[in-house]
Amino acid sequence: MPESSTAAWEIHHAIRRHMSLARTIGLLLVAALTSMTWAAEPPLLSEQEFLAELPVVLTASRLAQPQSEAPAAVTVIDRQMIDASGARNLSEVLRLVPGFQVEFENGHRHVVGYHGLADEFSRRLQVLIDGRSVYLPSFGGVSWSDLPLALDDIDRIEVIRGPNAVTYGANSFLAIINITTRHSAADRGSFVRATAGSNDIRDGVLRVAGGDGDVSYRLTSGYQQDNGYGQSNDSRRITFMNGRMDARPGERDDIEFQFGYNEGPRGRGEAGDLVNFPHDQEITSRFQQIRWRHRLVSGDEVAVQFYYNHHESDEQILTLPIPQLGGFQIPVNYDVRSERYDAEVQHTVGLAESLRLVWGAGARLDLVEWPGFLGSAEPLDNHYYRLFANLEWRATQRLVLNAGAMAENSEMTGSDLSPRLAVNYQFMPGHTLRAGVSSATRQPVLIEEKGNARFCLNAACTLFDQSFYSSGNLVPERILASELGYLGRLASTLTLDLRLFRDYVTRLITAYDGFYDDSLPDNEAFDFRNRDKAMITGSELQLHWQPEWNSRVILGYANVRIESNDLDAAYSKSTPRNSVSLLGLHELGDGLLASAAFYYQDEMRFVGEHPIGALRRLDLRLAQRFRLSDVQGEAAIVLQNVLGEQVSYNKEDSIADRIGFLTVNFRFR
Amino acid sequence: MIGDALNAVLLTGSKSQNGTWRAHAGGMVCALRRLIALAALAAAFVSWPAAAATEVLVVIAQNSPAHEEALAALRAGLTDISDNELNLRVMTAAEFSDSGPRATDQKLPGLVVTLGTDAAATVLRQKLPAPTYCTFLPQAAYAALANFSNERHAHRSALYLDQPLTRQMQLIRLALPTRTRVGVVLGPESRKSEHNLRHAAVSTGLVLRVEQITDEKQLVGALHRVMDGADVLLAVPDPLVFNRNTAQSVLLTTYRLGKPVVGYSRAYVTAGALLSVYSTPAQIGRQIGEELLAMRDRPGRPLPAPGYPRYFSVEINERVARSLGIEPDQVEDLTRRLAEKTTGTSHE
Repeated sequence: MPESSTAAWEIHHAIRRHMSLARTIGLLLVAALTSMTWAAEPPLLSEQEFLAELPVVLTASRLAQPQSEAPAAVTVIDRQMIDASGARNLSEVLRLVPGFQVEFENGHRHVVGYHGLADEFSRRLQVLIDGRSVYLPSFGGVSWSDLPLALDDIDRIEVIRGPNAVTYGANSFLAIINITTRHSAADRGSFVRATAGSNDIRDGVLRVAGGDGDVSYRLTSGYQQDNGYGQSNDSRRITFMNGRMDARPGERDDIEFQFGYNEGPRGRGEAGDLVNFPHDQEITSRFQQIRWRHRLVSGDEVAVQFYYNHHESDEQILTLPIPQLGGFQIPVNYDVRSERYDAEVQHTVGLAESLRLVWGAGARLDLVEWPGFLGSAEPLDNHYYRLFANLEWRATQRLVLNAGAMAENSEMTGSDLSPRLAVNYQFMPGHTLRAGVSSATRQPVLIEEKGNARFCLNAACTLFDQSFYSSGNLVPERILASELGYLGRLASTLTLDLRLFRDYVTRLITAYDGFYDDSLPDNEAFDFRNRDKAMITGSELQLHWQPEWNSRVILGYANVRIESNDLDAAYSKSTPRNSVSLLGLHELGDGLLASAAFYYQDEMRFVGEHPIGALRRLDLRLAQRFRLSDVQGEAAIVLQNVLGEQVSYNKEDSIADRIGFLTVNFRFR
Repeated sequence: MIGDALNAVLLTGSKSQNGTWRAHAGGMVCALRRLIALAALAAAFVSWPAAAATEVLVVIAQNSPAHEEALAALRAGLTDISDNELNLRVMTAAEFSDSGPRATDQKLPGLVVTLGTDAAATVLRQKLPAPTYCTFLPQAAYAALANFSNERHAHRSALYLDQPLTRQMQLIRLALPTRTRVGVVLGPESRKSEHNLRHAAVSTGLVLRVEQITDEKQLVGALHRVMDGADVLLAVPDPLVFNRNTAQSVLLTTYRLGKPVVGYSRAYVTAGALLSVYSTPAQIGRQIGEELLAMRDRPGRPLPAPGYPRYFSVEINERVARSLGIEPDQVEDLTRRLAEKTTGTSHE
């Protein structure tokens, strides 16, 4: 025992000795490091930091127009509103904009309407994502399910209510939806979202972001699936990916590169239909975009942008045996592929302290290959050029004038000019009146100008049916919009936006049954003609109230009336007379957030579709934020269409679906 | 005075403005701060020699217009005092290095007043036994100088050039009532004030979001991330984060996100910040003059406690405000209300 005890004592001592040696070395190291740190100590903060002059960064030509000086009415939907709305699809968010309707043909085909005139393709709205138009040159309008974009990638949405061809180009006709995605430097680390709910909703999003200094990137991939609406064959299985890279090669330059890809089957057809029987269409949609912004020494700015959009739907089917033809099966080719190349340059010039000019030019090539509907196996193309300029003159501190115009030339329709004039007058601090007149055109899409859809019985094309036959020679639709607006800060927490408008739309391109000679089997086919006119008048209101930092209430109201020389009141009834949207959100504390969105609209009917009765819609969301060491997250439960009144307009006997889902996200730094 | 002394105590981190002790103590750092606080309080009771015709030596960092402006305001405040009561002598830091008084001199000035960081550094290095009042320098610079000279030197105090954090936070509250989430990007220098920033934010009812960087290259990313959860950026002086070269990145990035910047100098507002609260050289000079008068009239003539400027100005960039859709109150109104909120200060 004593021996072992002594040995233990010696070991203990040895360890002590070593430890004290280690401690000494450690202390020396610390001392050395400390002295090094002292040597590397930055120079003392000088009073010069507070006194030195700085170059003027936000020069007059770089400052964006505030809402109170913009020549149009703008609704902003920010990140918090997107979350609070409980939306799972981008289109649904737009219900928050006064005068907007978001309806479903089916689970994957959403129609966004504003001030009516829309059929299942809403062709009179411009939609831009980071300055890239996603308007389809084939059908016209936007295929909302096919955008390679996660709701989580969006920073904000600005909706310009009214035409604005000068700033946003062709087809900025009734309104412009301007979506801005998050800068890639805004995220770091990874983000995961998983969603599951009724109607077989199974969504997932994975985002990684990184980079440092002058280059940052973001890569998002996602999956979205559901069984659509009711019993229809309208499920979707969407796989998408998008990427964004932001680079700053120098102090004066910003380069942004983006790409995206979206693919997957979408269910189509109805049980019992021999031609359009239940089947899938395969969608592929992709884009690349590059933007370069250069700041000149003068403070002026030059921006150059180029993008390429590709959208493809593969859908070749053989009809079910048709008894009238002795069981013959007709091959139907619904394949459609559209491409768009677009280049634009823009120059912002501060001509004087109170005078600013934005001008630029763009060129575009559209290619559409649609053998089944354009009567040509080869793609049809259209070249399009535009030139635009806007002059902003601050006549006095309270009076701002905007005058601009866009000149465009289309191979298909020739040249057109769209001018605009607006005056904003601040009659009291925080209270502005606006009066404006503007004009815009909508270029016909290829199906309207060159539609030729025929169903053949054999390779030599013995006609079974001709469904579209365009007589061509269309001219662009034209809108002449005049408006009176008021934007006021009624209190520090309350803003009001009022607008009275009168839109006179002429040369409306309408599809209707035309009569042809005996060469067509049933003597008729749809033709497109510049036939109709519509006068759209009404008022819009938007109220934003933020009583406390943790509560917001946003109210929208629109009253719209359309008078037209239309047949069967097709246009007159294409908008609800009254519509209301109300979003309320409140942070209850401890990371608990509650929000509710209520919508109401009078009855309406999209052009050529079944009527939609007056309906109320209520969406509820309850979310809990949490933190697990370094991981931040949020779990939310969302109930949509709680009142069960929103139905698909596709069928007269549509059944309303109440939808519920649970979504959880995690943010890893 | 009470306000300044309180601010000094608040800054050194031992007691909050409303007088309640904070439960959280940051270990060594906090203990160190307490020591500094004690030193600061001790400095407040150091006496100024009561002899007649006291020589006051003013050492300015350089002959710049700003320093001249401060000096002129200082002199203007002393016009009532006769020369045989107070003898004001002025020299630059360079002159002080060459031919200024030394610790070994028989006759020393009754008080040394320094204007600017360089002047303070030059004078404190000499370790004169004369009371030294370091003015017109950032708080961080004074704190660093106080740390460098290790021995307990009670014969000195300071009048900072920067604004108390609570004043900046109050300005955000008053000017931007709906923007309650304040973002800051801190560098190696300003990191030291994170604790005080948090405290000032809480006491003003604001939420603080912080990103830290160690390299200028990280700035833009940090700005994007911090502003993702913030409504306004507060610029905190740090040579790495906010300087002539980074002003463009800071102002453009935040502007594109639609978020305003609250700066710390008039130049920042000219460059594109929404607003700034700052003290002009004349305002600092005026306060120095007043402190000298107060010292003369005080029995024992102690130096005042280290403190922040009593007089300040608020500047708003109307064009940027308009462009961001913000309509802050009139500058005069804002400045007056801010002065009311932060007692013991004035904006005249």
